[in-house]
Amino acid sequence: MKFGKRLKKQVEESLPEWRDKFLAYKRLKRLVRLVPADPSSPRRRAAEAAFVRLLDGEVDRFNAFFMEQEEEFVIRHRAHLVSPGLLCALSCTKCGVRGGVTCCATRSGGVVLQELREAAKKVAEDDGEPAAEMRRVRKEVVDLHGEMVLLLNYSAVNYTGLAKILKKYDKRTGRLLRLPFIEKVLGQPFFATELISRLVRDCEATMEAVFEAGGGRSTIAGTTTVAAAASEQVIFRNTVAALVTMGELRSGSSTYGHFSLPPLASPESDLLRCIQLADPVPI
Amino acid sequence: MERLSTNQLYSSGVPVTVPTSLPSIPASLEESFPRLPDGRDVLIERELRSTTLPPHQNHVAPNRGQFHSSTGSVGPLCSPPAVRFSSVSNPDQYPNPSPYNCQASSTASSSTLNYGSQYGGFEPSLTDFPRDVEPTWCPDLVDSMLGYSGDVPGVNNLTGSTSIGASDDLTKQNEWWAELMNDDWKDIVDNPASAETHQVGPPAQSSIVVHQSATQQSVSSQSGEPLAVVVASPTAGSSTAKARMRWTPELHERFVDAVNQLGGSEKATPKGVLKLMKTDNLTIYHVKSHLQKYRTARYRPELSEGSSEKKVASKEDIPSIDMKGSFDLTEALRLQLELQKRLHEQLEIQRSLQLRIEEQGKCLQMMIEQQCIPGTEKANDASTSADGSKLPSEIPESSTVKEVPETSQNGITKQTG
Repeated sequence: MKFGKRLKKQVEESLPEWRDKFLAYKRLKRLVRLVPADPSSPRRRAAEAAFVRLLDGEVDRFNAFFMEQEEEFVIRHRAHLVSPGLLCALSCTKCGVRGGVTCCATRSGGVVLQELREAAKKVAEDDGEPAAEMRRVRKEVVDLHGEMVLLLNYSAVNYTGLAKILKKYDKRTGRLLRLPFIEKVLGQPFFATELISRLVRDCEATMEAVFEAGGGRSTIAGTTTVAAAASEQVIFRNTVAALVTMGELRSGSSTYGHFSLPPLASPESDLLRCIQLADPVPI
Repeated sequence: MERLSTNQLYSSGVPVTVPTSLPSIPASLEESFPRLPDGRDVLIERELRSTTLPPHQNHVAPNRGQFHSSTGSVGPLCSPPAVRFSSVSNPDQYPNPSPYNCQASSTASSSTLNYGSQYGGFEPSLTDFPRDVEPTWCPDLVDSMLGYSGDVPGVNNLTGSTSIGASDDLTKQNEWWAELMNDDWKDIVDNPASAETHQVGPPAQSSIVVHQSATQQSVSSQSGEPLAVVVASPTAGSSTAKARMRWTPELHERFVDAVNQLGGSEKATPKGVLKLMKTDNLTIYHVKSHLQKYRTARYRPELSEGSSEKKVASKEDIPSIDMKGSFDLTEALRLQLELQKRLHEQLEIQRSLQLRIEEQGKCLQMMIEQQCIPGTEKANDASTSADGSKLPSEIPESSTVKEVPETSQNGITKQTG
């Protein structure tokens, strides 16, 4: 399958608000075809300029969307993890008041995690209201984590698309548009994903602490029913789709060059297959 | 609805879509926050085709969010000018506003709605006011636009406003924005610094792209300098003052501190927060949009809290079944998290690989250029220095470095995985 199709599939599987934020690969491809291969042709410069403009426009679009999402994630991250959200939901020892907004000031990460573990353990024992609250908050954190990872995936997919289209362009016109452009892209905000990565890792650490207290781990073997339950979640489905697509994209192609990525080493491929089987809705 | 001093607004480069829209649009229209009927999409598409542009596929989809979503972008390449174009060339389509009334998301005051929807749709990019016009417009369209500069503003606002699909969230945002906008036009007047920077913006930067309608406005209104706005060269992105703010956790922390000092997110005003934060390069627009996001983020957890409490009440009746249910849910969550972690991991690996590939690509390029210069030492130096700056990754670097000098430039190499 070609990249364009894969991209389209990925876009279809993504969160609804995101669908039009991806790269306009098809249109760019058409534009590349329209560019006359002959460098001396009079229309060449104009066509190239149009192509570059469109690319720039796409990059700007990515930047805007990315930064907007990033901003939201920063807000949600703090709201759920750093301060009131999780701790107060677990009847924070300091304030004793649930849902207190201003009580939990930011403390060092390690301290917060420790308190979380203790509080989560306490709460997990009874099954009353605090436990439900904790479940809700947990779900929110996992969803936040998922969305952030999907944003990272968004960035990666768009980057790949840009790289591919530039390669096509260079191939057709014999120019060297790719390298400088890609360099520029590397410096763009939408590619500078370190912050989001950090937030993601934060979420992961927090969830480790919380899940630990929440009970034993299940083996992967018993996942079919669980998978069915999970696959009703949109974010979950998108994640699976993203993983699958990534695996396919990197499964080796006819145009392997020194700019290509190696095949995806995927230990979880059986897991994915299992999930796909369990999922009533085809991914 | 007051008509604000439009001249002032025009010159400040602030999106002036709002005030000009009011006089020119009949009152009935003011009440509607229309979704674009499909017919309009078709109209636009036809226009696009007629202008011999590569047709969009996804960009003129029935998804109204399209226009809304290209907040701050001219991504759907020529659709903004095309929208304008269509509005201009088929004026008979527009004077009758009734088609747009049908799907109104009606709220109280019509005028504020007008404001609201203008901004609601572009709320996220309100922070990046129209300094930068992304020159992704095709030249012939631009010419026609300029030709209609005098006439367009009114009609154009219509297109700008109708291009926003109204959703529930948007409605809330709209109202909120409406209030703010009413209050803070004065702020804009008081804030000459930011206004000026906005004005200076247009020719140079292509990095940030702003409201489509806003840019259209500035083009039409500043008919004195339309060429400057339009012809701007697509520069290499990220240089000078970015209109869009990158909110880091630290910055956000300071924001929250300021808000708490002012008594909570409801009580805090953007102006107050801005003053308390004392940060350079932070404009009130940044603060405003951020505050709005902050408020909605708080609002949502409260909503779900209400519903979960209801669930708890019913759960207590059937405890035994429930235990299993919640256990399953937890497991499902765990599974979800696991997968997400894996995806993250893979993405990180992929990213570092890509960066290294690009590094080596640059390296190769340099070597090609240095081909005539005898000096394998130079080539080796280049590759080792590039090596040093690479991101750490699990893949042993030595093998790939050795590979680089060996491969011919045109040859196909297989990256070791």
